[in-house]
Amino acid sequence: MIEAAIWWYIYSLTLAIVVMSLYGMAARPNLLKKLIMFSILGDTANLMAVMLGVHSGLIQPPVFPGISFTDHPLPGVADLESFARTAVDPIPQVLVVTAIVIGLAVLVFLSYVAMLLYAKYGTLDVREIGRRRSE
Amino acid sequence: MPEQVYLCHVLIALFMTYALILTYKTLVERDMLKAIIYSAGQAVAYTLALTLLAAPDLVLAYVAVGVGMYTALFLFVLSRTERFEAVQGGEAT
Amino acid sequence: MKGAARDAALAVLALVVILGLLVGLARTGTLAVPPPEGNRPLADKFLKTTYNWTSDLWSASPEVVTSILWDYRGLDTVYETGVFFLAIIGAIALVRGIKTPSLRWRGMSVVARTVSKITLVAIPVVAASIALHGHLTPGGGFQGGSVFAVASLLAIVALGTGFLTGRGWSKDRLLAFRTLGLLLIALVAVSALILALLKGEMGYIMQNQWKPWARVGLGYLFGGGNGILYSGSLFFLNLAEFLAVSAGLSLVFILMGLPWESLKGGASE
Repeated sequence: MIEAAIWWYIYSLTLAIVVMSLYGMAARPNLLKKLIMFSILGDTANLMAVMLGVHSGLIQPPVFPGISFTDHPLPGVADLESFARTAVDPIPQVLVVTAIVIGLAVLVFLSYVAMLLYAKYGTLDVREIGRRRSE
Repeated sequence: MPEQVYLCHVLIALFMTYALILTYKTLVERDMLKAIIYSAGQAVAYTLALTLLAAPDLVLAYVAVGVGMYTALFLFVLSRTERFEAVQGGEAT
Repeated sequence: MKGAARDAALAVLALVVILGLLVGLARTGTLAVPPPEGNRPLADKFLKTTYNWTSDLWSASPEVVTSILWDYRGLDTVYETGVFFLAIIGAIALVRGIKTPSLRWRGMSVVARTVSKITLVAIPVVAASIALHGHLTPGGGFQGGSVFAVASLLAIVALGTGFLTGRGWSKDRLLAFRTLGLLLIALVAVSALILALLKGEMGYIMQNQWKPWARVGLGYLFGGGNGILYSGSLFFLNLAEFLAVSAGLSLVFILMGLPWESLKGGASE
C-alpha cells in the first residue's frame, strides 16, 4: 500500500518533468533554453525506461558477481537461479546506454547549429531570428 | 529486509522531487548561466536515482555525459552567445 | 492579469495531461504500480542464459548488459554507432571551413594547470579500465569513451586547445582514429562469418560463440583451461567502440574550443 503510493508519486513526478520540459521546448524563445530542456526531456525518458525494469524486493545490478580476468568459475544452475531472482531487467538498460551517448552527439550537433545561427543573426531569440530572416 | 527496500524507494522519490524543483528553476530562470547550473544539479539527482535503480552501467555513462559534458557544452554555447534570455512578450510564444 | 489567467490555464492543462498520461499508461499495463514481484519472462531468459555454459545461446560473459548490447542485439548497436557518427559528421560539416588554430587561449592559472595535468593522467587510465573490463564489470566502450572525452574537455578548458593540437591531436588524425574504430567493429562483425565460409560451415554476422548449427566461434578463454576470460567478440568490440567514441567526442569538443573568428569564417563559406 505504502509502496504503491511511493511509486505513484515517483511516476507522477517523472511525467511532470516530461510535461515541463516539453513546455520549455515549445514556449521559451531562447534556443539555449530549448536545448537544455531537450536534454532534460531525453534524460527523463531514459530514466523512466530504467524504472520500468525494476521489480519489488531487493534488487542488484544485472552483472553476475565475482568474475575477473583470471578467476572465472562457471556457475551452476542454482547460482544462476538466485542471481536471476534479484537482478533487475537488463533490457531497458541496454536500450538506454546507447541512447545516452547518441543523445549527446545529437545535442552537440544542435549546439553547433545554435552557435552558427548566433553568428549569422546576432541573437538566440527564435522570434527575433524569424523577424531578421524575413527582412 | 523490507525496510531497506522502502528506504531505497523513498530515496528515489526524494531525488525525483529534487530533480523536479531544479527543472522548474531551470525553466523560469532568465540568467542562462544559472539555468545551466540548475540543470547540472538535476543531472546529479538523476545519477543518484540511477544508482538506486541498480544500473551501474548507466551511472558510468551518465555521470560523464550528464554532469560533465552537457554542462561544458552549454557553457561553450553560452560563451559564444548571449547570457540573458529576452523577456517574454505576450504574443508570438 | 492576462498573464496570470494564462499561467493558471497552462497549469490546469499540464495537470490534466500528467494525470491522463499516468492513468493511460497504468491502464494499458506499461506502468506496473507498485513494481511486479519478479522479472518479465524475456529478462529472466537473458539473465539465465548469458553466463550459462550449458546453453547453446550463451555469450560467455557475466555482464548481461554488454552481452545483449554486443551479442544478442549486436547488429542494432552497430547501426546505432552509425547514427552517432552521422551526428558527429554533421557537426563537423557545419564548420568545415575552419582554419588552423591560433594559440590565443593560454588556459587557467599555474595552480589550475598543474592540478589539471595530474588529473589528465588519471582520467584516461580509468576510462581504459572501464572499457577493457566491459565484459566483466559494469562499463563498456560507450561508457569508457564518454569518460575519456571528459579528459580532453578538461584539457581544452584548463590548458587551452593548443595543448592538444600542439601534441598532434589534429582533425585528420582524430578522424582517422574514429574511422579505425569503425573499421575494427566491421571487421569483428564479419570475422565469424568469414571463418565459417572458409570452413564451409554455417555462420552469422556478429556471431560470438560456437553453436551446434553454426559451428564457428571466437572462443572465450585466452591460453586454454585456466586462462584469461575475454568473452569472444565482446572485448574487441568494446575496445573498438572506446576508440571510436573517445576520438569522435574529443574531435567535436576540440573544434568547439577553437577561436570564434575561424568558426565565423566557416559559417560564411
